Amino acid sequence: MFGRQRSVCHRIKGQFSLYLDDRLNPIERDTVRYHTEVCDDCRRDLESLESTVRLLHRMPVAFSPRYFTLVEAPRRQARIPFDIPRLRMATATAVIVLAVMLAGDLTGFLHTEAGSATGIANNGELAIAAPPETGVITPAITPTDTTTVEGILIEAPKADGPSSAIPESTGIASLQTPDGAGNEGASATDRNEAPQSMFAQPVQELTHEKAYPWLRPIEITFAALVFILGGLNLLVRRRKWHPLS
Amino acid sequence: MTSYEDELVQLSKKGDLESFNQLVEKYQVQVYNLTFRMLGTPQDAEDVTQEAFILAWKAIRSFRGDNFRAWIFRIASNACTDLLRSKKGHKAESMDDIFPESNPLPSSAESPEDCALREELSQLISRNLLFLSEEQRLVITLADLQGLSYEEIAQSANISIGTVKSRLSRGRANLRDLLLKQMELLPPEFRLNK
Repeated sequence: MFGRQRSVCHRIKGQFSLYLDDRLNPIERDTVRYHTEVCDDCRRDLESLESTVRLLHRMPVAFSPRYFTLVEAPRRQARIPFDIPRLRMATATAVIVLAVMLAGDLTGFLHTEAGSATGIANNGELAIAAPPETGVITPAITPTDTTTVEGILIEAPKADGPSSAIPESTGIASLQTPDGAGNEGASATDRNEAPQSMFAQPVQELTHEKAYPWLRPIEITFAALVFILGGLNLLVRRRKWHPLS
Repeated sequence: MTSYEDELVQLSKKGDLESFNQLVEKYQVQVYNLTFRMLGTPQDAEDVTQEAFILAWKAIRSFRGDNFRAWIFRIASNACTDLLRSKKGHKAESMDDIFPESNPLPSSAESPEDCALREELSQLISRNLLFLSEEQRLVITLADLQGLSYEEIAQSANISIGTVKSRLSRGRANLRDLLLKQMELLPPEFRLNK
């Protein structure tokens, strides 16, 4: 019985502060009032708390001997045109997009098959189609083509005669038009090698997929964006300390 | 916030220092009282009050609320908390260092004895306030010394109204217990009966 009474008193005492500030609803207020009428201990407790609050209300105002007006405008914080959550969101989005693009690039998901016979492979090597079954080498470069391989100007041979701008010593296969104007077409470092075996290796290497041409610029753009946004995040975080935070 | 005060805030946001200084003049006593009760020394209170107004000027463009008083109190209370944390472990050398003078203005109707008694009582309460936790002291200062509503206190201290109620209740009870130990120092009409 005493334990129950103690718990009631404890609950009532917890409401004294709200009772003094008139923040209780009518039922709670009446409960406190009735309880303090019958419980001497709680009544004394309420009276002492009331006296304390009255003392606090009587506290004099402290006046400072000086004024705090600003004589000169202190430099204000530079206005940041975006808030921190949005900046973080933008950075996270840029990082995710960049990661997806890099993953697609590395796994070949964002690659096209078009690289096998377009003349220049991904790594800048000359792409040459596989020789036809007849044994005649079909060059990937048309007679009017001109391109550069490893810094060497390659000019497609004219139809009327075998010629090549590539010296044999470079080790790069010279090209010949398919009209069979010269038997020396497809001359290689070792002319005695069979044409099939000579082309087998390059064809295998050069026919792999090629990245879409727009992929790299976008990757670079997003990498730059991530770099800039990351820097801004750091900058904002440094300036983030604020008394309101 | 009155429409005039709102106008002053809007002008301050545009960089009008004169308007901002009018807000400073309006609230400087209240802010100083808050910092003085929180920190206990006039020098610290002056420094923190000045710092609070400078910070408010710098950040006023980010002020979006409708209660400038609660906002400036929040800046001041955070500045107090920062100072108290930085000073943790550096206690005042003696109680004389605390509240050497609070400069109360004697009213014309008050006798010198009453004025002295009031000053003594003020120092006694202020000294005991410093024994409370920072959170309880802040809430008691805002509620019982500054007269803010629970809602304004919640805004100023950045806490919920429920937390305001519990901190105020415990803070008052703790202060009462502290004063009961020095009952003989209290004036007869305020002797706490327990």
